[in-house]
Amino acid sequence: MPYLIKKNSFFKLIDRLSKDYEVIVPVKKGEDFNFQKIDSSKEINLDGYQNTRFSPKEFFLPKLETLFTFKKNRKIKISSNIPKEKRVIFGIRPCDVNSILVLDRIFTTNYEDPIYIERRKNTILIALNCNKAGEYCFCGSLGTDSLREGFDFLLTDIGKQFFVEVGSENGEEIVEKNYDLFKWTKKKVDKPKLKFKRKVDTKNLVEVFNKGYNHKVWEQEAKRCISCAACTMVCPTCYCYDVQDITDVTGKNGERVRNWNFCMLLNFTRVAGNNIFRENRTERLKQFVYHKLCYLKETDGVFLCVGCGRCIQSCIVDIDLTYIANKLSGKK
Amino acid sequence: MRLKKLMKLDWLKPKTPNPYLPQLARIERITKETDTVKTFRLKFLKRKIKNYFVFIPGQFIQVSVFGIGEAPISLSSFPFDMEFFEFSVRNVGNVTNALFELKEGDTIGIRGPYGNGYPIKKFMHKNVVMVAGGIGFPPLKSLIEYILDRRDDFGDLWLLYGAKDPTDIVFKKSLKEWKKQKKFKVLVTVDKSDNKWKGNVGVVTTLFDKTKIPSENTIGVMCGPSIMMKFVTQKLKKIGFKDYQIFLSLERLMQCGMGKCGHCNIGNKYVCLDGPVFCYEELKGLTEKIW
Repeated sequence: MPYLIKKNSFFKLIDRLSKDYEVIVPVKKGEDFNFQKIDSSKEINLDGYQNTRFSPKEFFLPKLETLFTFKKNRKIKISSNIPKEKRVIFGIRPCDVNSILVLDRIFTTNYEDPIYIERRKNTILIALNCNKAGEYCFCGSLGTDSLREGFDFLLTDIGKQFFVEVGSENGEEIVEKNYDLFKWTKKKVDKPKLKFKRKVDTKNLVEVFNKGYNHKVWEQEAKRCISCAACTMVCPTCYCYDVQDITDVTGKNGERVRNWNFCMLLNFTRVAGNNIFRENRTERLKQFVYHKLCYLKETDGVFLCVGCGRCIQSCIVDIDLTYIANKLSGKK
Repeated sequence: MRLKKLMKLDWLKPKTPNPYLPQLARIERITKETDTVKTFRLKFLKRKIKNYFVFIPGQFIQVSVFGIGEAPISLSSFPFDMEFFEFSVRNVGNVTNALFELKEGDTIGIRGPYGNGYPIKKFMHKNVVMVAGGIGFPPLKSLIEYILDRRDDFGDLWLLYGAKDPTDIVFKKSLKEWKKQKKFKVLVTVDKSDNKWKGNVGVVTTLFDKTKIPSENTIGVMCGPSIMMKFVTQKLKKIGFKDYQIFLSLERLMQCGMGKCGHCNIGNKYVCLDGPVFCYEELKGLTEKIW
């Protein structure tokens, strides 16, 4: 059931929620917006907000997190506790909600990841529809610009008010508790139509990629690549990580952690005996782009890319995913 | 019946609340195979875990030395041994070097088993040619012990094993025993011989000329360095093996074993989930090169 909420009332709602939840909102620092914890709704200022520089994946898959701790004395003692912090993320764009849906698929199939699942369960997503497309966005081509599920609230900015769609039981509950702030409405507000600068033809993309492994565009683009891994770091769906041990000076107490690692880095495929499977940059660039636009589509039927354009924005040598994809399919 | 139950991987998935938690196991025995290879015999501390730990030959476990890290290592013992399990390692990495420092009675952590293991059902009532190279031998040892346990279900067997030099040959005791078996041809070769060595000299593919292997109704299984597997695959295809008759184990970095950490991604496959044992037919279609 859709509702309308005045912006002032919405900020009131955020303040009420902040009693039980950590509230995370895009905050401007320098030129970029980034998701950050805030204490009061007064800090919210979304003027000129398109999307954040870093993706919200770090609230589900932190840069560094403890899997368990151990103590080595006479006997070895292992203990683990699964994090229970509750969060509200406001201002997350539809593409990023879609990216979380893809991550859900990864972390709940085959082997369930209880740490991720617990975080996901304890997070309320208040998504915000885009009113215009950003310079690097190409979500329209991948169908990730609209949302049908995965959110608790989906807001559309209509001037002084937000048009609110509720997408979960948690959302309904919050509406019920704060009914004084919401106004029930019959009319439906459509998502604003977006115009994209960048486009990818997703039809037959898997076949195009399977044929194009030795296309000359790879060498041509990879020549510029400096393997800085910025693209993978900002990507909302790049979930690869390392599992490592960290100990204190004695080596007796420590923890096993997982931290982000990126397929763009040389060490990513290094095994014992110093054998590296993806030694040159072209192969590593291919791995990134293929994983985004081909592999998961082939096996699971969804793209691991949501078209947020962060990799294009962050690439300092202007390597463009959409350019590569279009070159492969023979466009432009 | 037991096998049927085993082939269902769901049943084997660890049911701990946190799948990253290793189970503690005590090192019961350390056997020095060569200067650089040791075999570790382990037993779980908790009886419940011990009773439930069964694996398929070819599967691997994540071995933790606390404070150093984790490494994926193939199991090498008889899969239905309820009392203990074994693995053999060469000291080439952080974790294996740390393992070499440990003594009998020390405790390490084990996660798993992970991976698919050999599709033994497909091997039944067929001849099996096993080609091992260097430290790729352990998973095949597990397979051989499984096959010898139910010998009547399989046809003739070959084991072609190539080591660097005579001092580098592992599982000498087992090799001696297997040589006595009927319908089981065990051939060993070394790349470089010394004065005492009287056996074959040359790379492992030269052993194919020493024996006659039929291509019909035969399965070729191999594990070893990728360069070796490349040439053995070529050799098998020359003899007349089809792609679906060839099985190989791929080595990749695997840090979670659960298809999440992304290190073992090759083409649209994850070595830790879809492998480490692959039919050559599956690998042929991959965009990324495998060796």
